[in-house]
Amino acid sequence: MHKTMKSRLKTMGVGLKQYNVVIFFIILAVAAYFVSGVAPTVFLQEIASRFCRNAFLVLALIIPVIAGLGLNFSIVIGAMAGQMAIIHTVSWGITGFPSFLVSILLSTPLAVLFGFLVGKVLNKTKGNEMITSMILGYLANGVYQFVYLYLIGTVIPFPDAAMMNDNGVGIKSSLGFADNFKYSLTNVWNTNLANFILIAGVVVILLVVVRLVLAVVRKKQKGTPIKPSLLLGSGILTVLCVILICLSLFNEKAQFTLRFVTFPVSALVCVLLLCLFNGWIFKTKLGHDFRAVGMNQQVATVAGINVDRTRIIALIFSTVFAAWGQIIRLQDIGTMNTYSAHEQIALLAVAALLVGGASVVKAGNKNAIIGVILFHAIFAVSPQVGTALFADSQIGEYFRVFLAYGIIFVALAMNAVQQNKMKKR
Amino acid sequence: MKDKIVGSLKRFGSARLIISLFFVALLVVTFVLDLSFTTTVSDVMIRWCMNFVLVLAMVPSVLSGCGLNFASTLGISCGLLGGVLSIEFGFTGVISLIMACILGCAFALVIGMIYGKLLNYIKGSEMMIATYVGFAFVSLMCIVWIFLPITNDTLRLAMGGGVRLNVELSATFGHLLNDFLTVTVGGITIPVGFMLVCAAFCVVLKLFLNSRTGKMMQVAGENPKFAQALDISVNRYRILGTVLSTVLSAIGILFYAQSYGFLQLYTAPLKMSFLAVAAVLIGGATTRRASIGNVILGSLLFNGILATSTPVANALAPDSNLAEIVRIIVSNGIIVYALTKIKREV
Amino acid sequence: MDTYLLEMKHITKKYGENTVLKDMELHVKPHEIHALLGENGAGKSTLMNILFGMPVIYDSGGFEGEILWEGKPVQLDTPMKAMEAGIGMVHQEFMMIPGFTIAENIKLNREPLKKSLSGKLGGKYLSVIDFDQMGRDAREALGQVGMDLDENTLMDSLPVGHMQFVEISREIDKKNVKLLVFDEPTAVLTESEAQVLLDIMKKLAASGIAIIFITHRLDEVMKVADQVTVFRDGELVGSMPIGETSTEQIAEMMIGRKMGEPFAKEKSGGDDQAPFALELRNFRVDMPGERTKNVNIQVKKGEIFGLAGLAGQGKISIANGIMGIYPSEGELYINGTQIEHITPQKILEKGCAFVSEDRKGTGLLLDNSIEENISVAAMKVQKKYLKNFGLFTQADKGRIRKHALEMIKTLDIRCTGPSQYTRRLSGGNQQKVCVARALSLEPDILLVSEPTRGIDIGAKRLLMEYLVKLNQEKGMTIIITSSELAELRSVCDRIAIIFDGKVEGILAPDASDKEYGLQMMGYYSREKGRSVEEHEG
Repeated sequence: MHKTMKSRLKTMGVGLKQYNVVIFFIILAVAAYFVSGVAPTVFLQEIASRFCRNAFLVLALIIPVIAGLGLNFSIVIGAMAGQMAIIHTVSWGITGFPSFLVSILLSTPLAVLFGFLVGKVLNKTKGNEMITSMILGYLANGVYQFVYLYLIGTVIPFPDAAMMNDNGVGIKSSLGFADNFKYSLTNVWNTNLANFILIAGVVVILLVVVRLVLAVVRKKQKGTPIKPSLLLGSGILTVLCVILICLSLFNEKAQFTLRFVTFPVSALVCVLLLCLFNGWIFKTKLGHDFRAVGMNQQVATVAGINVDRTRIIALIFSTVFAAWGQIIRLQDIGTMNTYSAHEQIALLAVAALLVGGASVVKAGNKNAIIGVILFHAIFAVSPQVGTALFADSQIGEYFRVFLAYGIIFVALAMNAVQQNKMKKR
Repeated sequence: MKDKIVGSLKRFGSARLIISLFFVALLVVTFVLDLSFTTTVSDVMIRWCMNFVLVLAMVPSVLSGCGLNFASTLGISCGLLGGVLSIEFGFTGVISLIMACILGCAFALVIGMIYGKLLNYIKGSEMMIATYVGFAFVSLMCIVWIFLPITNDTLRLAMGGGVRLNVELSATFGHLLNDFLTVTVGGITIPVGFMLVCAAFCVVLKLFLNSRTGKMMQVAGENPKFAQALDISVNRYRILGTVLSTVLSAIGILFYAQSYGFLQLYTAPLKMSFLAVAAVLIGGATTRRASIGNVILGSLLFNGILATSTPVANALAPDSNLAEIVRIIVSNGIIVYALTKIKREV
Repeated sequence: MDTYLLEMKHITKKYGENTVLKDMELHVKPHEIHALLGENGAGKSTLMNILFGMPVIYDSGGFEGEILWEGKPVQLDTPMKAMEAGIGMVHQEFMMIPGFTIAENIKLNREPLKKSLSGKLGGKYLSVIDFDQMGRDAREALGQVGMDLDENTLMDSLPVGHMQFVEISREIDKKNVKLLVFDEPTAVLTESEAQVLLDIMKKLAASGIAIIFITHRLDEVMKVADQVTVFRDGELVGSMPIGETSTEQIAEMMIGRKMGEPFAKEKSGGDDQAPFALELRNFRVDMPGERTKNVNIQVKKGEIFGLAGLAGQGKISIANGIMGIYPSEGELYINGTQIEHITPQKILEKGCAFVSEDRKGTGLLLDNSIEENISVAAMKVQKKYLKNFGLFTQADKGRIRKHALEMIKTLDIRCTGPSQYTRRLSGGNQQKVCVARALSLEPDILLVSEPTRGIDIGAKRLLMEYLVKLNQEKGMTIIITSSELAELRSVCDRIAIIFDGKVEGILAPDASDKEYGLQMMGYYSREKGRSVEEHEG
């Protein structure tokens, strides 16, 4: 009895430890918000749009982590595939939602090919996947620049002269999509935050009810007991939703704030679909193989799983999602720095995932979602924090870069220390 | 005879061979297209020396078993801080360079020691973590530059506090080594003095590697188990290697800066370690072995390509950034190539 | 009676020039528990690797000979094919994923799938796994081995003893399994767990599954096996039904040596007068996989002392413990003085030198020259081969070269020159470099571990001769640890047999094969242990 008590306390401790990172960043985010003095509307708007822009890219990182490839810094290559698709789609004069669809379609085969190639290289550098994926990103950047800065117009014909440099060689370093590609997804369905909360709240409550009904049915049919955690979770969720709905409906001040925040629902739907996919894939044979390979390549090999092939598939998934994620992101931003839009992708996505409590060997949808919100909340207001504290916005900007690099460093170091401990044992 | 040639070519390595041929081709093109061949060759030599110590810094790190020092940006930042303080204290001329080196080395010593200790906890993942230690440190230094209470006008940002983005060195130690004992032969300027200084660094390092301490460091780096059986403290020698690498990087950046004419601060050093890593790899080093010969050859080839590709690229495709693209592809390509050559320890 | 399930005929396997299996035969009938016996390195694991189509075999050029499965010739060149044929393996190291549940491990890569739309579209890989079915299958398989475990328990929270049973459950869950290989299954189990395991084996055999049982425990063989096959040095010694043999005969068959001529020695035995060159009291070494628990040994001055025993019993760790490479407890005396807080430096200074069994790891700097390898130990420990310039030192290249050339000549190291990298040398020459390094310390006591492992015969002979010469001419005390008993018996004055981390007995080189065999198997201490248990029980 005493022992179980102790072990229970211990697991609770471990659980808390797992959330240490998250709790730390929640505090940091809240503090940053208050210090910055940013208006709530602006703050919420920043988070809403940054979330919908970036969450897809962060979710693209999960499969490689589970498959034991670590943090896939080569999603920048996927992002390049997305950008390539956008450049060509726009050059063909396609606009509106079709331009989004065509970009997605065009980027997919490219990303599959790139993911395959990256996978091949990473299979040759087992044990050093992360640094290789990072350097591969830089290398691909060189090739990408060579093609789009030099070959376009000299070797590869290009239909849209307006997108090219004045001398007819290479794509301009900055492209605006104001009247073709911009908001091609966002505009499909966006609404203000008040309405969104109303819709989302109702949907969530409905889902909770369905889940409870299912649990009751199962109890009657199979006798599976209903877990208390399910009841508690449902209760909390419902109450939260009701409070939020009431706020958005009846509280004038809140209503005023929320009305002026536009929420890109269509992008959110894409993010949710990817979450569902990530959840589903790990229930399939393929996803199970990802897990097995990620945990122990040797045992997986002996069991007859083709380890190298499984790793390549994991990278193809990640690269394709990164391409799509970059398309979702850029259509919302509406402009593109042709040769640098992809550069920071990996840094920001990886940092966000880690802020959400993931590690080099463990990550899930939850980490991605929480991480994106927290990280971008801090990221959005840190210039203002810098101004407020030191009368210098530059400091805030440097600080957030430091934060991104720092969190990645800490996560990598923690993982390495743990690995060495295991080896010693 | 044929076997011998094939054998020595094999030892030279296909990657190095391709890059050497590329370099020679670029030189030939400069000559044939008459793209101011003499200036280019002079430029190659200056760049060779300019980057030399930065590349040399890779040697102790690799030999002590810490792998390629992707965190040489730590030393670089220390060197820059030394440079800034030396100017702030009002030193000029040769003294300013010497003081910059001394101050930079002092910081590098401390930082290198802390970093070396860290590396002992994370054995096996040095390179990836080094990269992010470097990135994080550079971004931390950005904040330091802003806060540094500087009074000297050449350093201070025109508005507000903090140090400038680029600090002009003409009044202090700019081009000091570049112009030291130069000889001009047939229009080509040879920086004899600078070369001698670089050679001196090689000799000192060589002497160290040949001493008992140096030998033991190499044993610890090559085979920790072997070292342990002889009671050689692997961790201590890893720290030593890291400190040496960091200190050399600090001096390296100051040499680089005097040649360039500016101290480049803030995010400028972010990816500098990659260039040094690429250079030593091109010279034939691996993640486990590096020699002074690798540094001499690699520094020449890599910087040679950079120096010669610029005029050629400008002639072929003006304003296309082609030289920069060549740099990105060559440097990262060689690093990926080296990574695929690592044998996995089981 | 003639229907064999498995026949392996005329199997020969070479790794490079090294022949590890020569014209090997193995015939297994259904319903049979077939014990495979042999010292370490006799070729058992290579034969099993061939049976399983492991990549090691095919990456090193395949093998000669023929495999018949149920009377038909088969090509088992991948583990998958072996598995499909119905061959299962219970590994010595557990092939389990610690982060998976028992059920997931049992059904690894054989997961039951649900019929679903995605499965129809995307094939097996996109089918959803039926976790409920998985649990049921796992429970059933566990039930068959008599284990009552929750199949949803994570593997890493399971005690070691249970893991073995999960492995077995996994193998018998493969419905078509006809032959199961147990590789030293009882090594990690307690006495009672081992008994349970043996019962399960009998039950499985009764149900029609043939079992190949690899073990070193003769009593277990006598208890459960139907047929015994004995290997030695990659060759078949004999195969017979258990009823026609005895423990003593098996032991003798395993050891039986093609006795090389003993080396001519003028005097032997060492100095009986105290103090001893080296003495161990209650010595324990914590070396993973080779622990010693309580060793008491006295090595006389000027004697050649042998340490023998099977792999995993602890003989390897003794020298490593003495040299301070692995942590140890207990008392160590060198020339009568006790050494406390052992560090490599202290021991090396005391005049001991070590040639490690881990030649390519602890033994050599593979990417360094021969001369560097030879001189480095003396440079570290005795500050030899250095020019001193007060503040700093420089390696004395002239002296290093001179000494290396001498060593190359005396030990006949075949190389292109003293600056050749040791990686490029053959195994025998690498070993000579290791010996040369140890000798450059000019030791009084030389510890040599596995000196002839992976070395061709010519070099073997030369090395042993040289060790005897050192002993005879310089009076050097030599402690040899070796898995090759024949070799120890040809040079040593006395040989200690290590079993289960303790000294089982100390034998003269001309003691009988039977005696060696029984002691290597720990026959006496196991018998004794059992009788004590019975008394207490």
